[in-house]
Amino acid sequence: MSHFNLKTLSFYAVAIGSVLLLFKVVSTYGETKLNAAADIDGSYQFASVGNLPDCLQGKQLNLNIEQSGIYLFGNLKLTSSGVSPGVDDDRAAQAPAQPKSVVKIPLSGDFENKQIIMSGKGNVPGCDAELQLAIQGQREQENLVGQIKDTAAQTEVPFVAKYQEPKAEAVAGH
Amino acid sequence: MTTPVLILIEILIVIGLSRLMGQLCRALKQPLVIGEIIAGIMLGPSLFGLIAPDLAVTLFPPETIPYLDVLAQIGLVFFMFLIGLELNPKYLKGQLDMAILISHVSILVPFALGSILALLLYPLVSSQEVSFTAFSLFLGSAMSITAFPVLARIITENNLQKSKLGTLALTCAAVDDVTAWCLLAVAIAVTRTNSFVGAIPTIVEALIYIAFMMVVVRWLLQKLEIHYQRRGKLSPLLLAWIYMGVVVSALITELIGIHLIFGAFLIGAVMPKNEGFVQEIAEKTEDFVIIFLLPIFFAYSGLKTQIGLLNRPVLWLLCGAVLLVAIIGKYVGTYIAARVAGVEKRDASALGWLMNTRGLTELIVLNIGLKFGVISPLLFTMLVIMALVTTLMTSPLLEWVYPKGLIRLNATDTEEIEGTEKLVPTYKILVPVANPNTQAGLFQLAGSISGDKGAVVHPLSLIELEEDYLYGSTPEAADQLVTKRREQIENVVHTLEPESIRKSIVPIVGIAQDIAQETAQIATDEQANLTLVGWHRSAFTQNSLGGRVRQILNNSPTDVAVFVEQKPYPWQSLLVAYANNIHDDLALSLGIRMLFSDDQRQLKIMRLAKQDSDTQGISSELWQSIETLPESVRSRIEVAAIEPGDPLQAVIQASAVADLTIVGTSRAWGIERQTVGRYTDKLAKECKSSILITHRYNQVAYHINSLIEEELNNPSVV
Repeated sequence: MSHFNLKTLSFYAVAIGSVLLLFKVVSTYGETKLNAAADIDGSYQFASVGNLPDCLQGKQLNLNIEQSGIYLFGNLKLTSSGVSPGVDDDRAAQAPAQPKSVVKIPLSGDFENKQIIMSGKGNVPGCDAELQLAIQGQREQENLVGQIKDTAAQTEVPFVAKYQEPKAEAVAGH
Repeated sequence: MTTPVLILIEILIVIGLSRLMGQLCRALKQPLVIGEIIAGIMLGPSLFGLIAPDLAVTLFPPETIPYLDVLAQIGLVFFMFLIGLELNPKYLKGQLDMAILISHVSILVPFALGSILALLLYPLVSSQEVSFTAFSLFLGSAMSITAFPVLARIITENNLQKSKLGTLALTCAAVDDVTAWCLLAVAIAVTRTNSFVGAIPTIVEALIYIAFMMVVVRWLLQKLEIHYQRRGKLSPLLLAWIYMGVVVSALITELIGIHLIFGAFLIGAVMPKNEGFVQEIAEKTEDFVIIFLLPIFFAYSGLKTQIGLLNRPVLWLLCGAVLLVAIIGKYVGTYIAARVAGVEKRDASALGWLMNTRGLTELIVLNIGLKFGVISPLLFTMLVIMALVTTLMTSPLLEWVYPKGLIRLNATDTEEIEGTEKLVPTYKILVPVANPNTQAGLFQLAGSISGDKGAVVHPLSLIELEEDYLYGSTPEAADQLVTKRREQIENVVHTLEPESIRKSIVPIVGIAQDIAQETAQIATDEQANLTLVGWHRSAFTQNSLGGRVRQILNNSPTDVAVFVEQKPYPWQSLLVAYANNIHDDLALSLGIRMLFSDDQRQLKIMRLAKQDSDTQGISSELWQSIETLPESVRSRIEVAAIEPGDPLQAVIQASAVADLTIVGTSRAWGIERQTVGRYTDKLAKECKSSILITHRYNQVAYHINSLIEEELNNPSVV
């Protein structure tokens, strides 16, 4: 027995017609009225930065941003060349091939009005207290320009970070 | 460590954990795919990367991920080929028009709701590189998915594959599958070109390719099938041609601008569905793809899933909205369409939950979306959670709407309509069997206990399926197994004597996840009076019953009897060893029942101690029943006392002249309650006759009451 009677056929036609119409209206509205966030995700290497606390001196700073729309996740990667400044360690000084030490401070925040606002906290070897970082900045061409603030120490320094071309995919952690 | 070594170690971890979690989920009555998805997530940043970030990076360093991706993609291509292969036009017969209506509406509603949800999500979680049309089309498609393989497995496990609901759900899911893949192909084309107009050439090319596959390639494959039939087997060369065809087709669809998986799916779908041909291709392909490559795809997806991204309440609220839209959209769409098509409320509701199964298919779609950048990592995580929850909830909700007992009841109704007469049994025996061909004696004993007076024997054969996606787990293959098993039972039943008992033997055959538990459930649903299980001497271990028999004994909510065959039918001389406890009462009751079914049968009761001269040492209630037995039966019962000393030895000696010894699981005979125990070995090994060990569960009913009542109302011919 066929179930395609007038009732089901009209139901079918109305259902498909309504959804197509709805999709047309929604997509037209979305295309004209809605704006998604600009792409700013990636890795930014700090090229110039103001006076950082002593414990961060000599370290390479990288801001890694993973973006999902206006929601930002990532970390501030601090890479030391194996010997921290101010640390008197003969063995370390004699072994330049020693692996670099990497510390990541997880960050999260938002991207609104073309401004990134990210914050996070973490312990860095050599620093007396836990760092409580707040980063604010905006994209200027390929660079990220803004301020980095340690809310615990009440210090704020300007920075310029350069966009790094991606290499391999990151896996664990964010 | 070199990269190949590292990748092999990664694969080892992935397969190991995937199997472990899969088995855990099977134990929790969930599809295997749930465990595999969870295993993948566990290996990613959501768990492993969180608790041991350094170790996670050491074991899964970024440079190895592209290799895993390649393996995952190859696995996916061949998995999609298997899915296409499984798409049998058989599923599209019967209720196709109804299924098309239900399926399309069940896509339209979540698609529409998904598009509306895109208005909220696009400004929050998307990027300006992605057009709104592509985003909403993709989100709508992701909401509309139904996973045919997982749904097929759930239907098979619930023995619904032959029911109206099952066939309708399978047809709907098959139509849904094809429609959703088409929708996804359009979404990908739009995403790649970022506009509808730009996607039109791709869509036209895809349509031309589909037509080419359905006409030219199908014709070629039919020639290939004829070659297969002539050879009678699938040669490596023929298989190589087929695999090359899969790869070429995948590459063509990639070149067209849709995706690799469509080409693989298409060639599987147009493959001639000759049973042997398809089965052999599937069996040769699936083991490596499903056991080795597919877990790598799950792991790859899991590495991309970051539940940690949902780090504030508003994001969980958005995740809840995604989940709600997906569930409501699919359920409401299916339910309304099914009701309009005239499906009953309960069936429409069950269909709504079944169509919510998204499982692996959703994961495939999401990975494509993530790769094209049309969905962000945050939305990907939300949608993976949605896929997991919707798949997880299907089985319990189906059980809630459509309890297994009801499914069985419906199936039995159908059988009774098909059968010659409808039985209203006064006594029911359930006989669980694994291999019917070796259980003729057990069936014969069940027939002797049941007799032919309104009792019924249900040989129960349950089949456990191994994997979710294997060809052997498809509804069609499972159905073949069920039919074969039923035929085996019927062949054995046709050998039983006397002929009159054959009509009272009604087999129950089906698929089960946990045989012992399912047996217990069926015993409850069927209100069985006795569960009779067979026990081979070779299965005896040091001190206890082995494997499934023991599980059935421990789980069964009925009286149980375990039969060890030593002497064949007819058992004319019965010996009941009686020590006056409830298990011995059951033993004696069964012995008396057997007297009714054969007027040449004699019963000797060996009692341990005579405590009450009026009742010959037999419990007063049972004695009262015995006194009401017709003389023709009572005259064949002899009561003898056991000499003090070693009762176990006395029974063994007496069994030399008996055909069948029936004993309760009492300590007096050296048989412990519950597990039967190690003394059983001695009795079963040294007993000269066949032995039936009884264990009483029901404290109230005697097994002979129905027979006595029948005898009073309708005097016997015995």
